[in-house]
Amino acid sequence: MFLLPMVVYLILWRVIPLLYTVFLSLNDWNLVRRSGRTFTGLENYVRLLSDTRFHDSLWISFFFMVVATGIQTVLGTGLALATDRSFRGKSFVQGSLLLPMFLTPVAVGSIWYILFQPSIGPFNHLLSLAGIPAINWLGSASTALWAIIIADTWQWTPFIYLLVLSALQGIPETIIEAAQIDRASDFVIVRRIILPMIKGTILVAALLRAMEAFRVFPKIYVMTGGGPGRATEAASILIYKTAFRFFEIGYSSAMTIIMLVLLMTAYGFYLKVVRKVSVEY
Amino acid sequence: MVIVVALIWTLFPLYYLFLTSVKSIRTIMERPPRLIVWPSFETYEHIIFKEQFYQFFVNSFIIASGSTILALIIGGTAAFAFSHWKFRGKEPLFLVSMVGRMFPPITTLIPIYLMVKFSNLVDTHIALILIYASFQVPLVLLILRDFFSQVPRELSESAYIDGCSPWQVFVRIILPLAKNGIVAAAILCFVEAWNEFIFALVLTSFKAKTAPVVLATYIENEGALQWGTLAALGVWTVMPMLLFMLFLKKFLIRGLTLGALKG
Repeated sequence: MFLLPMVVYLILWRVIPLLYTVFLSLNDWNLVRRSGRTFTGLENYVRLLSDTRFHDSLWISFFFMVVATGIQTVLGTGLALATDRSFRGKSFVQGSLLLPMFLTPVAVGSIWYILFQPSIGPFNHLLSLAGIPAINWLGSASTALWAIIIADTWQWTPFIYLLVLSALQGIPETIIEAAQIDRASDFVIVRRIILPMIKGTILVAALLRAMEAFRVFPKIYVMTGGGPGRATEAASILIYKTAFRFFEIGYSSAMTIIMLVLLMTAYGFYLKVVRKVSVEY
Repeated sequence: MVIVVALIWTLFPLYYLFLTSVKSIRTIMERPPRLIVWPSFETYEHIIFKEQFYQFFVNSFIIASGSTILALIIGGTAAFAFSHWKFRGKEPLFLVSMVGRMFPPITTLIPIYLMVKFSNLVDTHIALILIYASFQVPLVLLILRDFFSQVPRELSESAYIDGCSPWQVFVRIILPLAKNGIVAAAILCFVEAWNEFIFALVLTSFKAKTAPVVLATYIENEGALQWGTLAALGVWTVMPMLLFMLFLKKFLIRGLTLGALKG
């Protein structure tokens, strides 16, 4: 049998743990207390309804997702349009621009952790040249989340870039040439011909990116650990802390399930879009 | 112009990381920061030999290769069935396997932590190998199904007529013809396993600690004390990815485009 190993494996490592998370979310279980696990039904969910810390964390994740995905989609698409023509060193340029997306997120976090340091990073020096006083990027609540968004943009703009570029390469040259013969300007060609043809891919890429961005973890963990205060405490960070710092296994599972429901809704939407896009082609 | 700005934006952070790792302690603190220095590799010597950090890179390597091989075997055999057999419920089963990729790993973190803990596998290579393989099986399936179905059906059918078993067809005909796909899938699996953080963070403490966990805990504990060491660890952690990009770019990009768009 060729299928059996996969089916068994996925059930064992993916399906059963998922069901167990659902079960745990209905229990009160703190690993540190000796009392062990007690079944409490929906109590955890009721508690979540009035847990402002959890609400804040969902908002931070959501804000991060929308802003980061938005910036990355615009930049990635723009870059793809700018580099989809022949020029010297094209292969080197495209390879370099794609590089960040393959790097370890923790390492990307540390790169930007260094860059944003007031003491050794280059940014504050540049600001001081312009006469702007030093900013403690990661240490102040108003800039920390933006610093992480910048780091995330550095890493994941290439993802949008790659997918849009591959869509651009699928556009037949004859269409563009016909438009050029009709004296359409570059702007009109991009606006009226290219963008409509690739908008499906852009949407799919943005949705994929958004679902990933919503659960951002390593960069925040490395760059701020959720701080200062709780300014960058996204949902994934709170889930981690609740389970592995406060050892509230049941409560953390309930948070996980809420996050999963949100992501699955987004995924359902994504599948609809994908289906519609593939019909269009 | 746009391209030049984009290149600087992309490459400067990497350069600055490298720069920080080869600066001496005194030059790191200099204002304005120097952008060109005579490299000193003391920090590298220090972390590799004195602090024995090489151990953690070996761990990462063992875990990433182990899970890649396991995922290729499990996902590869399934991809063969999906691409060359007819059976009832084929499409639904395929979709269900894919959904496994869409619910994020963090949703199973707690149960898997408990499972690993109660089977006494905390801080072992094998625990992470098994877990990472389970994330990668759908990806392998997705990529290899595509490559396997490009192998002409006539080839495998005539082999059956000549008396080959399904295994022989798989090993002797399909696999050699889908080499590129296998390389693409393998590299992607390796990259994902190498980069994974949260499970490694929760499930290892010393013996099986991976490079990203070492880097992250180093920032937590030593943070602002040893910039050079921190940067050198960062360089080490991204090194395999840089090498892949340098030598195997084609495979990496092909696998990724396929994995993302078809997923």
